[in-house]
Amino acid sequence: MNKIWIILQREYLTRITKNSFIITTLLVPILMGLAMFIMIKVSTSASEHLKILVMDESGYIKDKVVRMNKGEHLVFINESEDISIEKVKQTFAEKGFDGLLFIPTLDIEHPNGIKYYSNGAPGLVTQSHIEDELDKILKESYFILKGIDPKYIESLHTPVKIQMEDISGIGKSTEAASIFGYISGLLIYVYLLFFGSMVMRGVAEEKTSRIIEVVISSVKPFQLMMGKILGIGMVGLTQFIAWIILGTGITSAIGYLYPSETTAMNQANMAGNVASNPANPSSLEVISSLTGGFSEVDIMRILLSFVFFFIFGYIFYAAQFAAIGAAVTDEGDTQSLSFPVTIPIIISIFLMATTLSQPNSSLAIWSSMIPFSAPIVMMARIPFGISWGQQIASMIIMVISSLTMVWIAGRIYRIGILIQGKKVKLTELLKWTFQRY
Amino acid sequence: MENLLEIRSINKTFQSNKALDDVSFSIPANAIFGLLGPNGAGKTTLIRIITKIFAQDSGEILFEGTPIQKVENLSISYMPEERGLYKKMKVGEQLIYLAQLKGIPLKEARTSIRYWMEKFDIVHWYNKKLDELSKGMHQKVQFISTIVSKPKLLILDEPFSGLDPINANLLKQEILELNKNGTTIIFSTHRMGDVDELCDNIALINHGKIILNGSVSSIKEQFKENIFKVAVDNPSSAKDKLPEQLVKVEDDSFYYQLKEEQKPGELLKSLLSSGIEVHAFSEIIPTINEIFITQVEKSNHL
Repeated sequence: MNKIWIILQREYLTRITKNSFIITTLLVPILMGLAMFIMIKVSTSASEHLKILVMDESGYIKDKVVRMNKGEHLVFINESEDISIEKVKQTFAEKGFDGLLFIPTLDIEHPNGIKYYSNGAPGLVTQSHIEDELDKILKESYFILKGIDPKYIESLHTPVKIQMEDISGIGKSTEAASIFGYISGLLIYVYLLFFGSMVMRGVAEEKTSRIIEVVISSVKPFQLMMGKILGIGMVGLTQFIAWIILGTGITSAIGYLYPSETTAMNQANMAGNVASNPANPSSLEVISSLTGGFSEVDIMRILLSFVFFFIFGYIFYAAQFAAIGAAVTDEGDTQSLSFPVTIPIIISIFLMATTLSQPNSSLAIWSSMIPFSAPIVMMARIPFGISWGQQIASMIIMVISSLTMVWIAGRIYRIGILIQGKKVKLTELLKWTFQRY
Repeated sequence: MENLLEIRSINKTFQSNKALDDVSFSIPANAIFGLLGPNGAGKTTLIRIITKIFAQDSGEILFEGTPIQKVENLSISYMPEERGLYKKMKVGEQLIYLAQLKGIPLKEARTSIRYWMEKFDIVHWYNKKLDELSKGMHQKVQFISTIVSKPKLLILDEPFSGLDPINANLLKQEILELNKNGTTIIFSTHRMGDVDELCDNIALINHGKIILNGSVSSIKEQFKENIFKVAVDNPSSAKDKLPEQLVKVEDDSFYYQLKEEQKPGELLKSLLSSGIEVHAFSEIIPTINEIFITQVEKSNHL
C-alpha cells in the first residue's frame, strides 16, 4: 500500500509540474474566455446603426415603413423622389444611407424579387429582422385583401409548448436533462481517452527505457501499475477542477467587466432564435429550466453519480490501457494495440446520442449496464430520472468489473513489462492472464 | 564458510523453452561470485528468480537458510544490465524515489545518498536532470541506487560496460570495499578478465544447465594441463632437448607438458642437466576465459 502511495506521488508530481500541463491547464480557460470576449465584440458590432432607404413599387410597404424600425439601430426611410431603381442604386450611398431595400411590384401570394443592396452584407440579425418585418406587413395586407381582421395573425402565433411531466417525480425537463446528460457523457469520454492513453504511454515509456528492470525487483508489478493508474487519474481530476475554478473565474470576470454586453449577447442570441422560428419555445425558458427544472436533490444525484462513473469508468479503462502499454515493445505498436480498447469508448459516444433521444429504450438500458459503455451512457440517462434500481445495478456492475479488469490487467502487465523485442499479438495478452510466471 | 544463498534444483520453463534445468549451487557468505554463461544461457532468468520477479516451477532458494518466498524484506539488490532511469527526473529526486521504493525511510535515504554522492564526487549533480549527464555518469547513479539499501547480497549484471578504465577501476574499488565490509556479490559478466581478477567462486551456465561450479582456484587446478613455460638463454641450443615433451616454441620460450606422475622439479632438473640456461620457469594456469570457451563449446557439442 505504502509503495503504491510513493509511486502515485511521483506520477502525480512529475506530471503536474510539467510545463505542458501547466500551460494547457491555464490556456484552455483563457481561450474559452477569449472566445467569449470575441463573441461579445462581434455581437456588439452587429448591432451597429444602419440607415436604410426603402424603395417600394408594390405599395404594400410604403405607409408602414416606420413599423420596421428597430430603435435607433435600424432606421427605414422611404425614397421621396420618383426615380428609377437603377439611379437610386448608384446614389443611395452618397445620400448617407447604408442600404437600399427594393420591393418591386409583386404578387402578394408569391412575394418574389425583393432585394437589399449594400456595400458589405448586413449581419444575420439584421437580415432576419427585415425579413420578419416584411413578412408581417405582407401577411397583414394579404389578410385585409381577403377580408380577415389582421389581429388574428397574432393569435396564430400562440406557441404550443407541452410540459413534460414525469410521474416518477425525478426528471422534470427533457431539455435540461439532455444538456446535462450530453455534457457529462462527453466529459467522461474525453477523460477516458486522454488520460487512458496517458497511462498507456507512461507504462510503455517505463518499459522501453528499461526502468522497469530496475524498479521491478523492489516493487510488485501490481503496485507499480496501480500507482500509475491512480496517480494519472489524480492529474486528470486536478486539471478538471482547475478548469472549473478558472473557467468560472474568467466568465464572471468578463461578466463583471462587460455587464451590459454580456446580457446584450445573451439577448441577441435569443432574439436570433426567436426571430428565426417564432414558434420556438423561448430560449429563456430553456435556460431557466436548466437551473430551475431540477431540485437540489436531483443536482446532488447527478453530481455524485458523475463522480462515481468518472472514477470507476476511468479505472476500468485505464487498467486496459496499462495492460496494452505493458505489451508494447516499441512506441509504434501503441496505435494498433490500443485500437480494441478505444473502439468501445467511441461506440459509447454513439450509444449516448441515441440514449439522449430515447433514455428508456432497451438499447439505452442495456448499454448502461454493460461496463464498456456504462460510464458514458448511464451518465447520459441519469438526468432523465431513471429508477434507483437500475442505477444501483449499474454501479455494482461497474465496481465489480473495474476491479476484475484491474486484476486481469495486472496479470497481463506483470508478464508484458519484462518481454522485450518480439511483437506481441492480442491473443497472447489473453493467454497471459492465466499464465504462471 | 557458511552459505548466504543456496539454490536447489531450480527448474523454469517458458512455454516450451526450458530456461533452467535442475540448477543447483550455493554462494558462500561474503564471496564475490561469478555467474557466467553465454548469451541466452539463463543467467537473467535465474537472477529474476533470486530477486523474486519470477517464480520457479520447482526447486527452492534459501537465503540465510530460509526460503526466499518467506523472507519479508529480502536484503538483495539487483543492478540489471539494461540501465534504466527516468531521464526527465533530477538525479537527487530519482535516487530518493528509488530508495523509497526499496523501503528505505526518507531521512535515511537522504543521508545515505549524500554519503555515496560525496564518495563518488558527484554531489553537484544532485539537481541535474539525468538527460544532461553522459552514459557513464548514468552508471554511477544507477550503482548508487543499487547500494543505498545496504543489501547483504548485491547482484551486478555487467557493471563495467560502457565505463572508461578510470571509472571502471573506481567502481571496482567500491565493489571490493563493499565486499570487505561484508556484502556478498554476484557478478554476472562476459569480461573474463574481471572474473579472474575479482571472483573467488564461479558457476558456469549453458542452455539452462550448470556445467561448472566451484572456487576459481579449484577450477583452474582441475583444468590445467601441466604445461610449463621455460624461458631460455640460447633457444637454438635448447631446441632438441626433451622433444617428446615439447608442446610449442615461442620466441625464446619453450612449453613443455609434464607426463603423468612427473613432478615439475624433475622437468626442471632434466632441463638443467642437459645444459640449458633457464631464466624463468612457470606453470601455465588456464585463464577463466579459456576454460569458458572450451567448456561451453564442449557442452554445445553434447
